[in-house]
Amino acid sequence: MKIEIRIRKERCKGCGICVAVCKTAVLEFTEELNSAGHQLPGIASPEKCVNCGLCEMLCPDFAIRIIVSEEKE
Amino acid sequence: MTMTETRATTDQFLKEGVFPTVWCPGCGIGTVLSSLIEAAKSGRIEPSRILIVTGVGCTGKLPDCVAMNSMSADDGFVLRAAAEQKKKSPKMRVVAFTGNADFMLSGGRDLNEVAAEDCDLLVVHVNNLIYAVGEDHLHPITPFMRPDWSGRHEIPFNLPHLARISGARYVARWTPLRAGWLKHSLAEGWSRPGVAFVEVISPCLIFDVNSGKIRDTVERMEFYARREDFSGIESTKKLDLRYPGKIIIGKFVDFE
Repeated sequence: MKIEIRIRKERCKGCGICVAVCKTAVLEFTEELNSAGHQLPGIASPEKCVNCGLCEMLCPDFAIRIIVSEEKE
Repeated sequence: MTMTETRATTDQFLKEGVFPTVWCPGCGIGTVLSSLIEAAKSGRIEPSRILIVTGVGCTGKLPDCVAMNSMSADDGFVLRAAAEQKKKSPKMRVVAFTGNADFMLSGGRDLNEVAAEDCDLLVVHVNNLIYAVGEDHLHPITPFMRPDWSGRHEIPFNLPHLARISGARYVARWTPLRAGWLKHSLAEGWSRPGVAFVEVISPCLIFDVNSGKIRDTVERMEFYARREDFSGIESTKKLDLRYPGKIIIGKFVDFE
């Protein structure tokens, strides 16, 4: 199972909910700013993600998507 | 249906090109909308079968960004307009998305009328603990911890109890921090006949709540986490926000 986290940078307002609710510290704030000047979260350690879906569900701006794909062996 | 397919369809509920939304960073209304969309997806409800009726204020900005059927009613006529729309198109799933001003301040009587008519309606009330037009004045849901300009307190309305005695079939209260349970609650309320009332306590970030201690989103989530109380509730009589120490959340009434 492969988990991919996509952040739509232009939708983000930098509120920090996703960083705060992530229990395994996958998401962290970066120095990067989007065009509106909001500080963006980044994916620090994608291998730790357990697909709890909290960041996707709690994001008020629909900026995070978690895409789970089955790997074929 | 695989998980990839179900999660990819959130964009069908939203308009393109309107993001970022008009709400402040970290506002709970966006999370409530996200939970509503997740509930619709879990119930296999298509966006074209949902009608969202909103009123004035921040919750009234909801039709800007959704691709579902939506309308803004006048101040105080949200539940009435939703009930009329439900009568005209019975197959539509109608959601009345109300805020403090249009539900309690000027449309308070509508809940009894709509519940007495037994309309199949989901009422989502976003209680941001403030009436922003008259910031320093008391309104029916001002929490007891927050005095008005002259230092006066007043006991707030107990909305779950009001909904219960009005005849709502499903009454629950959550915070946006518990978005998963809020989603299940919305899906459950949608499946019940009659009026389902779900209150979401989502304090406003801009105007001061609780002596202006809440200034950013993470602090607000700590505010929830400190005050939430899941202890078993027998009666809805003591559910008002009179006690600053705790916000009792949970499912209170469920007649199937």
